[in-house]
Amino acid sequence: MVGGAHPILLIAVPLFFVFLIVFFSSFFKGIVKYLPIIAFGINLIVIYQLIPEVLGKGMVISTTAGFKPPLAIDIVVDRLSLILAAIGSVLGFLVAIYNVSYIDEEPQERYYALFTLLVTGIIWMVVTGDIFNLFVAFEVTSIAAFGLVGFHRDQGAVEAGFKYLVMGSIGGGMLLVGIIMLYAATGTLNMVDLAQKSVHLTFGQKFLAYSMIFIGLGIEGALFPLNAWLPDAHPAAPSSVSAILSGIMTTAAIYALYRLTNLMFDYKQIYTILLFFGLLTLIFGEVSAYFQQDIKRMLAYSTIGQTGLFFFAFALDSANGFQGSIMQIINHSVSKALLFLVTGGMILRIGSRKIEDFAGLGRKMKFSSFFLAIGAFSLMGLPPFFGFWSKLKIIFAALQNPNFFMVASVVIILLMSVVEGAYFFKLLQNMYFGKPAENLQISEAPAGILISFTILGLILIFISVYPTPIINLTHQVANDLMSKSYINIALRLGGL
Amino acid sequence: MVIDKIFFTIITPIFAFAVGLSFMMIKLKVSARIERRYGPPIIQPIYNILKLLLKEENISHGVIFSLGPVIALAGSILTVLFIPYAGIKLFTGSGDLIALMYIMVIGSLGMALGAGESANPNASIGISRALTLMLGYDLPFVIIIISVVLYYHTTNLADIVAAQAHGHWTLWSLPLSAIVGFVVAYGALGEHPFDIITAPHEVATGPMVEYGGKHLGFLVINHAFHIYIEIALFVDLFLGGATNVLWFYVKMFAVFFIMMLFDEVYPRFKIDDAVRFFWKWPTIVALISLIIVLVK
Amino acid sequence: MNASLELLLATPFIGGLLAFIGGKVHRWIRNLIAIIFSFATAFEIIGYYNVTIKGIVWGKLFGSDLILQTNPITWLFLFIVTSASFLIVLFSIDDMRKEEDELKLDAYYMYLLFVEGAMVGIVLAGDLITFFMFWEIMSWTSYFLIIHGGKRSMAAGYKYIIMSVIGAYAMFLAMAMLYAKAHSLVYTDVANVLLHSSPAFVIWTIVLLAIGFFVKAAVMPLHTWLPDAHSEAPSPVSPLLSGVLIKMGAYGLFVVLYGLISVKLAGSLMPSVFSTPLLLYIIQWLAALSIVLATFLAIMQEDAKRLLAYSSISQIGYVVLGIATGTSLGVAGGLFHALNHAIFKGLLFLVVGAVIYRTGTRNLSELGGLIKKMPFSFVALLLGIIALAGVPPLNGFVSKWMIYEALLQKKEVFLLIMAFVGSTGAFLYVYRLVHSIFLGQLPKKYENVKDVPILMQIPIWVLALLTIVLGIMPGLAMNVIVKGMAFFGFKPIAYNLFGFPQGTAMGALTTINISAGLAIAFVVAWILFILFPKSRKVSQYDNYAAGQVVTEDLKYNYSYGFYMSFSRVIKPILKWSIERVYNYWVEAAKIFGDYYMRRIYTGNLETYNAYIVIVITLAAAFVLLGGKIW
Repeated sequence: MVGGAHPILLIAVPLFFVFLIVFFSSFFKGIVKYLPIIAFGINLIVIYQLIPEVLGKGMVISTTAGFKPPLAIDIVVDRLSLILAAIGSVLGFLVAIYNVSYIDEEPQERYYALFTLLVTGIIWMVVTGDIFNLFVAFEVTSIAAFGLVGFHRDQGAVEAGFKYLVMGSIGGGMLLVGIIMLYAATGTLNMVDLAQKSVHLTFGQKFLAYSMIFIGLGIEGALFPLNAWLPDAHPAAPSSVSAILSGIMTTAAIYALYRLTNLMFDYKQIYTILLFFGLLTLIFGEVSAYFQQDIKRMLAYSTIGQTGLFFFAFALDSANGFQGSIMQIINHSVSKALLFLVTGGMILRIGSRKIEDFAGLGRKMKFSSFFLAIGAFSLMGLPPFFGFWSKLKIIFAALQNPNFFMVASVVIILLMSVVEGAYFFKLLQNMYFGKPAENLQISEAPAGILISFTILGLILIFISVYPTPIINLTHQVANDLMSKSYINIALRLGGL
Repeated sequence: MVIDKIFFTIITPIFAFAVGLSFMMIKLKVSARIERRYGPPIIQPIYNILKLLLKEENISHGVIFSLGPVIALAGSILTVLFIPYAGIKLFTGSGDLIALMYIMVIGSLGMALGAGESANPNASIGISRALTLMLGYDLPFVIIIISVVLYYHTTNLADIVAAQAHGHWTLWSLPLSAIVGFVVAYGALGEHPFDIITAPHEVATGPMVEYGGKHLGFLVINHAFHIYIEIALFVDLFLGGATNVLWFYVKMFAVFFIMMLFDEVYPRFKIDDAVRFFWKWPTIVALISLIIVLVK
Repeated sequence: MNASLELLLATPFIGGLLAFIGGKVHRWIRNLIAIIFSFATAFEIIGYYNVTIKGIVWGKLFGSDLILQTNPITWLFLFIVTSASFLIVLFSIDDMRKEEDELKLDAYYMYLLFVEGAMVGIVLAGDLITFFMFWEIMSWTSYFLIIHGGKRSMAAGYKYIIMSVIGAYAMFLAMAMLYAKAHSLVYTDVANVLLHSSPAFVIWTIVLLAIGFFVKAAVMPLHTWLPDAHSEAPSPVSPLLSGVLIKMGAYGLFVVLYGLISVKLAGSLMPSVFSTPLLLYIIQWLAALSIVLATFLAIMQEDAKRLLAYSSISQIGYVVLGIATGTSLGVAGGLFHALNHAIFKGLLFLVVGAVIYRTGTRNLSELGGLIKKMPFSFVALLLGIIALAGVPPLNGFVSKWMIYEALLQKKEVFLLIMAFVGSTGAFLYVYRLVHSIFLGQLPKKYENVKDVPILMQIPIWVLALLTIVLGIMPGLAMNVIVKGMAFFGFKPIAYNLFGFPQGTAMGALTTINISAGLAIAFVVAWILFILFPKSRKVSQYDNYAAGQVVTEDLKYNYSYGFYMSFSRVIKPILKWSIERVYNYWVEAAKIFGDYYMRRIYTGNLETYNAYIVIVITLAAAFVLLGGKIW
């Protein structure tokens, strides 16, 4: 159907590599750790080929199994999906490089298989055009994540993994219930089809389904109060996995929520409720992060806070809000992944996750510290980093129609930004100017780690100083969401 | 015209010194009479100054120690040129009352620097007290200055004097300010009960402790200027200046005479009590006067 | 022409990056790059003297143009920023050499130039986004400069950055509200919108923006970061902070008050007190309180740099007081004082830095008698304190005189009283400074102290010369200020090279007469002095001690608790501390937050699942109520 590239390859190739990893693990173990790099390298090429077409036409659709939609499962890549899929592939590729130096614990083949599965699931979630397929991808992701959180197999990891397992399963169940309710009401699972058919449903009918879906995706997407597993799970996982979890997995779930809300549940009441969820998530995330002693926990709580911020922006239900939200997603994914990757390398060297033990690292691990600082700055929204532009956009969007509630929300957001500044500056100060506990003899992070976060850091610097393409792209995406062009283009391109 | 100006520029400091010196001479005699003594000869201050200046043995603690009295004297001479008297206004147009307030400080600064270099704690304590006291009387002082300025709508001292012609003295129009002005001028002169700075029994004449010889001579000359400046300013502000030198002298003498009487009867304040005193009654009275001016 | 405005902005940033990279090669390459680029920036502004460029678009963001502009007021601040930065770079070369960690030094020069670039950006900004962007950059880059000062500077820097961020976000809020109304943040558009907005909106905007500026300008009660940050920062950074960085707050205030709104508009929106719009009057009061209280606190200090830091709060009070008067004379005085303060406070901090460089301490009671060892520094410091105290014939006097006269014209007597008292109080602390460092007894351990190297003296002397030049010829600065103020719609004030003729203020001022008179009087007095018998130099131990013999091991000096008696007088005032209030609330918020966060993220799976149930229940309730909760 598509001349250049098949979006289906985004999923098919890595899945094939998962199989390869398992296959090779029994007799050619040495190659296993490089397979994910190849897998996501291919993904990047696919994405690169997709770019002109998606940007030009607005969407690329590919169907499977020879059926026509709505019967067939279709893969739909529009601009928003492309952004998320690109982030997923880039992070997957970089973390795959990172893994080479980082993972030395056995059983490695399982780690690599699950890791590849995790990233594949995430990409799958953002490119699918079918709601049941979404659930499958969701479950694939979750299962891979359960396994990876518990990968260290110490008590904390197992406990965290178990908590995550329980809550994630509830979430999966809820999502499934929601999907079933929708299917029962409309008789279709194709998103475009659903969007059209669900117009006839009443708000009350839809709302219950929506709450189920919301809970399911909210648990995965770290919305307060459903996010309680996250502060345990993200730190417990290996840092490479934390980067994926914090950087893109929660975001992917939020993406799914955006997509479904936008397509089927586009009601003012719903957006108003979501506003509160966004704000609460922001407050609880940031305030909790301030009190953490463990750097990874701090970053995990910060993820919650960031999620709240971009969810809030989405719930503004305006083009500016959508744009701000997506810009913030990009910022968060890149910066937070960067932070987790860098701290992973640091933790590897100093063997501690306590913030106070990071004292004096600024001189010992110059590159790591530099990129940590950049990631933190971007998250705080300090100019000239990308976070500044996205925060600017969000605040501007929130005050588009200033009323008391919006001004109060903005005040809260800004206050939370102060809190965010408070803990990040505490970390940076300690890192750069703190006195090392004893005569610390450590070297820079290993090559694989260094390469991966350097590339990610350079990407962040690049989009910081040259944000125009992303601002333009997100502007288009916001307009797509506003005009629901997903449906129109999909219809035109035969997505249905 | 220019010759006139140069002539008066030369003659004014000499006049000021003569007035100050005459007051010093009179004071010795008057206080002796009050204390039922015969007192020294009336020209004793001149003897004192000459003796000090001509001393063969002068000691110096450093360049600034020596320059201190010089700067002090230079500052005083400059200040004198800015104060109009008996219709003569030399530099008055170049700096108004506010500028004058800060020009007056130059001399004190020189003195303080010189005393500081003497490396004697008594001198430092003296300066510390002097500055603290200055902060004390400065509050009522600025308030009355503001009152007077607002009353006459000008900061030009010559204009203020002119506006008081024909007996319309500020003393009559702003009596409260005049009283405070008197107290402030008195405090600035450092007579009892405000002689905390020199306090011979406590800090051995304070800033002057290491000074002797020609240095001290300069400081005594400076003191004569100082008396002139404080009283002349008071006369200009509140007693309408004067149209001729004699009348100006009479007014100044009247003010000085009353001050002498105060000097004889009061003991010494503690430094913080002095500041508290200035910040209490003179300030309140000055504020009342200021509010009267504002409301008018 | 257009391109070069961007070049001017880019120069320090490029210089900073190159200096950092150059430092990897050799430290002298780094130093040279820093010197060249900071000089180049200072050199580039010459071309903009009295030039007005209405605005060039350098970018576009969210539908709002990003604009650079320049006018004579901009030039005044550009001059302050770039020349001060250049001098500080020069001073740093030797002063920072004691830092052994070369990486830290590379970063130091980079941040120094970044701060300069950010300040250039703030000044050149023609719209609020550009302004805010560089404002934030300035905050965090200067934060990194501050914490270069060592262990204690970390807490100071932390306080600084947090308060800066709070202030910046207050500005951000105002900015976003303006954007919602104007859909553009270019100054002219914003001014247009404010012209037709409701009073409440305008007042909120000004208040929020003012909070941001006041944090940076350290106007009480938002000053609490300054004494720590300015005193703990490295010696060359303190003059940058005190002399230049806090002026950005004053500049911002000026732009907002007279660029975005005007006194006339403000007057029409709110009641006036003493013919000043209420809001400006409140700002004036805050400034006046800063003047007096900070002066009193400065008098109490035992640490040279803390003393100067408090003095900065007090002096910036004069700047803000002048700017907020709204009259031509007052605003001109405020702007001129901004320039003057940059000069003399920079000078004082550099001299104190030089003293620290040689003696290693900034504790006033440990120093003394250095005049014999560092005579040049003494003279420079003397000029600085005379200028600071506002004593003629140096520059501080002229600007303060203008502010006094402006207040007199408006009959704002209570503010004027406070301004006067602050100035007299300044005599106390500046004398303390010069006495405790240079006068009094020289401790034995400083016998071998010398004046600082030539590279550190050049900046000091340039600034010292400027205090004299601008003190005698204020017209040089007024030339720029008056032209620039015309750009903002102020009536021009009459001035000449040597002061102000009758009619500008309530009195006239001719500085040349004062300085010439002083010079002649000094020469006369000096000639008289040398006519009399010569004096013999004695050592400091040859001293009156009531019969005791002063020996080397005896500390015969009065320098600790210099104004003890005064502190007894103002004890009731000193009891109050706004910082304690802030700390109390921050601590309370922390305890509250910690407690409740632990209650929510208990780590207990049952609790977590209960949350899910709660959400489901709420959703169900919502459905049952028919989706009509509101």
